[in-house]
Amino acid sequence: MRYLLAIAFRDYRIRLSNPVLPLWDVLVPVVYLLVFGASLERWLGGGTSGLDYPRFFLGGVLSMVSFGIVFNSSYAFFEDLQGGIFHEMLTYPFARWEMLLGKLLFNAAFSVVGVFVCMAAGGAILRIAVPLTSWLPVAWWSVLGTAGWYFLFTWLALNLRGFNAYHTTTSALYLVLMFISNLFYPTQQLPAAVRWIAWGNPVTWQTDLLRYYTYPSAQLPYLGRETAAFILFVLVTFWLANRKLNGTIE
Amino acid sequence: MSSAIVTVEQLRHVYRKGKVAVDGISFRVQRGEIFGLLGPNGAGKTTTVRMLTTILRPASGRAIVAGHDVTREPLAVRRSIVAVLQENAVETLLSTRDNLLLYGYLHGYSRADTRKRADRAVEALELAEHLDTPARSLSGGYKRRLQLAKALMVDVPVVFLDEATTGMDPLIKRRVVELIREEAERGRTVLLTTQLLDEAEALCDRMVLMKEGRILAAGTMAELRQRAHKAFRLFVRFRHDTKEGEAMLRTLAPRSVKAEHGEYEITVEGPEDQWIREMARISERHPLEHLEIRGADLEEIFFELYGDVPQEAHAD
Repeated sequence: MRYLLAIAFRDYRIRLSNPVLPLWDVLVPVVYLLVFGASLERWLGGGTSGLDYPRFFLGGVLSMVSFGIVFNSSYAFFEDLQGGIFHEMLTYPFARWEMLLGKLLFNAAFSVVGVFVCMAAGGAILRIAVPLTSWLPVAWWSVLGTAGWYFLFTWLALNLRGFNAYHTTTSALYLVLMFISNLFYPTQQLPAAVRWIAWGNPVTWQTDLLRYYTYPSAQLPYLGRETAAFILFVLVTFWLANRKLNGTIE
Repeated sequence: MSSAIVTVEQLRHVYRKGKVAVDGISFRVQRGEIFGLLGPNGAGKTTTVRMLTTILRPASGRAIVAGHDVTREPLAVRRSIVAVLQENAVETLLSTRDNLLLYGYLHGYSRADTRKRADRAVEALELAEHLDTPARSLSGGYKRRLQLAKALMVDVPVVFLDEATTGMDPLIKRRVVELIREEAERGRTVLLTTQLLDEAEALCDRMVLMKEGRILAAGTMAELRQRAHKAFRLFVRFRHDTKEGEAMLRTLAPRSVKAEHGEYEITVEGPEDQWIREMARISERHPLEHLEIRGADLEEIFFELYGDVPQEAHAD
């Protein structure tokens, strides 16, 4: 545990050396929630469509918190790789899985702060209060989501190596994962091909899991399958990242 | 019973694009020894260190460090080693002090213990003036000092230093050489890579010379000299320094001639008695004030084995 905490402390010191970046990670989803939530609600006719859009969108924004934090922090990972500190860390006296979990720890804690800020802002400004009993499960699924994305992005970074290749791939992934999902809108109305991609997207699974706690009247017919798929996604990405870290890193 | 703390047998590494970086090398490092891996860029030194420090997996062969197999027990190996890698691997966004403290925590030391160890390392590497300087603002030489300071904080039996003194000024380099020696005297084994031949000659108990992933020669300095038996250095001073004397030295077809303040240092090849006779002949016409014949130094051994001396060898 001391190694996990030391690694998390290291990431905390590095990320907090520029306080604007973490602030950005937390504030951007809140701004999304307030701007999109309020404006689309008005555009959709203030709930006359049968969809309480701000409440619907809150689940998506909470999902965005995990994804966004990992997406942004993955660039710091690249700096470590290029600066040589990453390779030095591979010689430190802990297991590769401890390195992965330690680095996840800070991001996970940060995502909990992020979702709590979002829920507080949603409640205070848009009147979409989430019951306090739901905050803990929301934190749990956010941590798990952060883990899945963190492991996936680690695996990608170690395989792609070149910054340009990484930047291109992750930017493309960002567009697909964020916009071909149920994060901004219900997927039922989408064209069939896009709908199928959205249903296979882990962002959709995580968003539905979070929506279960933030939008109790939402129709979530596949929640059981999505829960299983999401847990499998986290386990598989952990296995991939750990395997890569234990192999050869040139 | 062998007291080898590092055993390397037929170790090989092939990079993704098929380049063979290390091609079946074998050597042993004894406990408490300062052991050098020498060679020009691309010789395979860093790849070897990366395999021994568990960063890279060997394609084949075996390496045992502190009694643990690098492939089967990498964590046990990491708990027995500390490594200063070739890159300036420091936390650029943190200060020198925070770099050291973080390093201690990442090696499992308590806060109080880490502070004590950091203070000692700061004193040893003369870093006190730069404790609050962000590492990104340190010069290359200071970054290397910081890396070495980190390595000195940790008590483990094996220390890997990959080009550890690169970019340091000569005074601090001398201090680092002393520190490395002190570490070896305390029973720690130091395995270092360098391109600086004078540094290797001054520090290493034994060494291997590598080229293109293979070992060309291995042994103590004396053993390596025997391999380069053909090369001798003659230090000559004439009683009366004349152009004719120098011209006669040049008729010996030396490999190199250096002249400084009336003293000539020439490197020649061939049996030693031949050179004694030649110098006696020259002395008859141009009397000598001083003559000294020395065996090859590492630079000549390099020249003989590689046909060239790495540029960086003269960086000092």
